[in-house]
Amino acid sequence: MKSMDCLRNGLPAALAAGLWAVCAPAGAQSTAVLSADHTTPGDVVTYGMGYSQQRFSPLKQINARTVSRLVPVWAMGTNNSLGDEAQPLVSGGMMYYTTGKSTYAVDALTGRMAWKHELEYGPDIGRAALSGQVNRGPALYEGKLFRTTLDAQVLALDAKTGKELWKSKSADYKQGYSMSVAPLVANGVLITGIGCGEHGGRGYIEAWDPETGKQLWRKYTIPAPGEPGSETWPEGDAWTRGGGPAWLTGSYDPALDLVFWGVGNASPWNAQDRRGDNLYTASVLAMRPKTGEVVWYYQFTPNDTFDFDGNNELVQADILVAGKPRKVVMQANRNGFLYVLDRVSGELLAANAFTRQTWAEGIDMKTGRPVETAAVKKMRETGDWVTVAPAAFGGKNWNPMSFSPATGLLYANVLDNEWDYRPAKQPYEAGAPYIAMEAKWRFDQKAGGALKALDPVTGKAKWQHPWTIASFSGTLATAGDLVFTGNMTGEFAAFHAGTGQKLWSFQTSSGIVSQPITWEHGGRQYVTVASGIGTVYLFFAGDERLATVPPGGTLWTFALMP
Amino acid sequence: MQWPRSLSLSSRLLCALAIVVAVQTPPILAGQTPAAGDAPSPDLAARGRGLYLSHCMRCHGPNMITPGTIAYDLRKFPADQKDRFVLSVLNGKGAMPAWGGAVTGDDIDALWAYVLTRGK
Repeated sequence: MKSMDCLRNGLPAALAAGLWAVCAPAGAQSTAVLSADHTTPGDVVTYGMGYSQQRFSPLKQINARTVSRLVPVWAMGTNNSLGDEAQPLVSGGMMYYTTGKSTYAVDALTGRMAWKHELEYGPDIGRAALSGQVNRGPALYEGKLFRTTLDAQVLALDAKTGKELWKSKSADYKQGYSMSVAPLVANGVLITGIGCGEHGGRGYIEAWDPETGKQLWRKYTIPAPGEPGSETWPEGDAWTRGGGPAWLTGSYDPALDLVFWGVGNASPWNAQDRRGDNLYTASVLAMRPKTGEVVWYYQFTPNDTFDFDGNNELVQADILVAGKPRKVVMQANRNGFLYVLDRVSGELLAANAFTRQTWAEGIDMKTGRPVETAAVKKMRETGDWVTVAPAAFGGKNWNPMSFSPATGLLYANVLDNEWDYRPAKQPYEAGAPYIAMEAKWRFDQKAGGALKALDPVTGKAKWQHPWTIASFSGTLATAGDLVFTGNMTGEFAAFHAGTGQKLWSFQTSSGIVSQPITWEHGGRQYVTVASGIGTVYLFFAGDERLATVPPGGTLWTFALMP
Repeated sequence: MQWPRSLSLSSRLLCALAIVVAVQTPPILAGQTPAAGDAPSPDLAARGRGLYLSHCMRCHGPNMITPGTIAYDLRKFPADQKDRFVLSVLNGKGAMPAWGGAVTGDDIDALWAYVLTRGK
């Protein structure tokens, strides 16, 4: 039973509001509740608004006809100026939200804070958090809230009070390990992944007992000598600092009991000293949540040399491919290709460019491997400069896309960028950034990115909305024919899912680099998004047009004007 | 003392702090503050650029080009306040991590020489 069910019999709204939390049964956020999240819009209890991470809602009170009446109903400052990237969760009348240092429980209807939990970090914490001192959201399970910390710990709080229940250390942040991932609870197991891809770490995905914080298993993304896949690494110790971070949340198919988790770039970026495919960097792993067993894998970018992480979200859907219904998992990869894989077997079904890319001729559908251009091959042989797109920002960065079963389209904020690149020598030093390349960034400020409605199988855009400055915001699709997203200058907007027409927008308090959600209570649909500029683009791109976008986080909630 | 117009209130406080702390000058600070306008050694600046690329660029931007909202715009760092720069690097400030223990005095000298080039 979902927490909202007891309210659907015509209770007055005010009474219903008061009873919301009371109605939440003990054992809220059970496995059954988490598994049904995509069909129960009264709450949002999983990252991605459902285990499949479609970020699609069946709600349609806010729709193409009514969205012009959408107005803010509350806003809450998050006391954070380092980037608000988290996806909120909604359960039992509370909204749960995280930043790099804070965890908040907020009355979902009024925006008043119920409790907060603050983390303390050492003054050197920022060294390890290369992607920013951010957090991407909490997880909920059976009355507990779970989150990760910048100093590589996993934390459990009492969701009612914010009291700390347990804290487990995953790694030593002084060695360049950090965590920002929203945890995944799958089949009763709490799963997290580590960030370490720019510090010469050895990545892993690991599982915890939600009750006690005891580690259940750890699966390194780079095999040790003698283990399967180790033959793809050279002799020596390159594998010990070979990267393979796992910093974004996997999706889960309860019917198959498989977790799909993306693995990031090989380390250092320059591949000259690690010949071979370097499994399982730049890959997806299909894993059993109870054991960490890898059932299948697919490597997007063998011997990655351009920071082409495979971490991006892995969105599941049941779609037609070549006229046949297939259970697929899809990723718009940093390398500029949109991959469609059979999620039962791992078979590659489609891989087409979804943005400008100049590093590969294409993906060989027989071998599943990219065919690199002559210029990239020459760079690998000679060490000469090469100009390639995408640059390390990728064809798409971490900010998640959505999928609408109604239109069959993916909605993603896509990037268009390139760089001049050449390998360089850099000695490894524990805890220090480990890149070993030189680059001249060329982020085209005229064509930096667009919101695209993508056909998953062809990678082609049915429509696109270009941004003046590339957007690093997630998207949200609804049955109301709408796609919500934000942009770097703080505009939160709704587009028609079928045509791309911009129907509504609101100027928020900062830039939006987060993950909008929608939910309903008492017959009213709400949309929530965090505004608070950050991301690697803000820090790395040198885009001075952002000088007039004030930092500082605010959680905004919208509903239709009565 | 005339405060540079570009400094915020918090920066002024840090300047004041720098002066106070400089009473107990750590070895790394001693005798290293050049007169404003001194040209940095090109070799030192080149080494500083290398350190900047690996340690600093990720927040402060390519060639120090940045919107300057969360990360400080180093192109504006007052050339006569090396002590303040050293303290910020060693101890961190705001979102900036403390690099004490990870960088040497020579490293900071090189970084300072690069900062004085303003990325040009």
